[in-house]
Amino acid sequence: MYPHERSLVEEMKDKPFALVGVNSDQTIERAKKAIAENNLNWRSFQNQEEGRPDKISADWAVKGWPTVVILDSEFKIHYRGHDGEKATEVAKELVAKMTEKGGE
Amino acid sequence: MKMYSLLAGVLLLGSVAAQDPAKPDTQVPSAAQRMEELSELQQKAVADWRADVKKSREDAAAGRAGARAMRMRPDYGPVAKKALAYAKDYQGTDDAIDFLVMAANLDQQQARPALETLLAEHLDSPKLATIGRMIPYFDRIVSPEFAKDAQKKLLQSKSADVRGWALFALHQGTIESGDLDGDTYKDARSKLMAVVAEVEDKNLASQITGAIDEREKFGIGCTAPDIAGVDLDGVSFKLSDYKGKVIFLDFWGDW
Repeated sequence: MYPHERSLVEEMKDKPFALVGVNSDQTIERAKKAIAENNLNWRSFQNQEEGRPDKISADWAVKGWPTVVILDSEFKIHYRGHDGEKATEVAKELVAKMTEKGGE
Repeated sequence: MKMYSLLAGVLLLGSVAAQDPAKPDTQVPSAAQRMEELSELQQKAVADWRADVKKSREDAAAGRAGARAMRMRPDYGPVAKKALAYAKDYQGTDDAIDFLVMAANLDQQQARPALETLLAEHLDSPKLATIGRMIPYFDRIVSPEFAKDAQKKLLQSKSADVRGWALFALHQGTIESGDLDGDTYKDARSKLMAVVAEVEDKNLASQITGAIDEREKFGIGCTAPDIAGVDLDGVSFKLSDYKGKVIFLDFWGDW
């Protein structure tokens, strides 16, 4: 999944698109190691920072990893699931629609 | 004193019988002891498999002839077979359920006989709820016909927990992808919420409410809530900082 996400961020960097992570590694060190080793280029929430009552994943009823949710510019959900490629397709379509409109 | 020697005699007999398979075994070890034995065997199967994978990799890397194809998972067959055999010693009791569930979980070959016994002899035991999560996979583990028949039987169980799991399996698809405003969805939802009110199995209750929540708060077309949290450097930010863009929200981990 890493190379896919990394190149997606690269490809979409000038478009109205953001990849935001919610990292659920046991320790921040573990997550940072993965980021350094794989040149990961997106910002992530800590799934449960100290003092947070419930995990973000629990608030979002996430039960399997990885889970991807695609939101449009108004926060409306267009995809939720485990298929990164399908999610990418949905996201790209939404971005294409936005840029079309902007060009009119 | 007399009592003591009598006991010693029995113990001695017991150990002799265990060594000689021709003699009938009069002492059945406790279910807990046997469970422990099986879980050790299971761990050994995992260790053997790991060693096997390692060897296959090394053989392949060295270009050695006869390098075997890697097995996808440990060989749990013998453990499952043993579990199924042990179940017979506790036939009709709740202890048998643990062995049968183990056999069904570990090996596809043993799944049919194990599940058949569970349905025939333990249908009304609340402990049968331990197979709850497996119900949706019966068609793939055994066969579609078996799954259909099992589903019917489970819905007739005297245990509310068992009926609840069966009902959840039956309506799960509707909850996950049915039309939120349609009658099918509404009907499934109200039946499952009745299950939540009735069951003792907390795991089942949370599975049901979780599935309904997921659909109604996070299904396609729903408006997502904001997230306020901190990044990996401890800096606060919000998901809504990115509002106006298409957001690819990725729940990830390196593990």
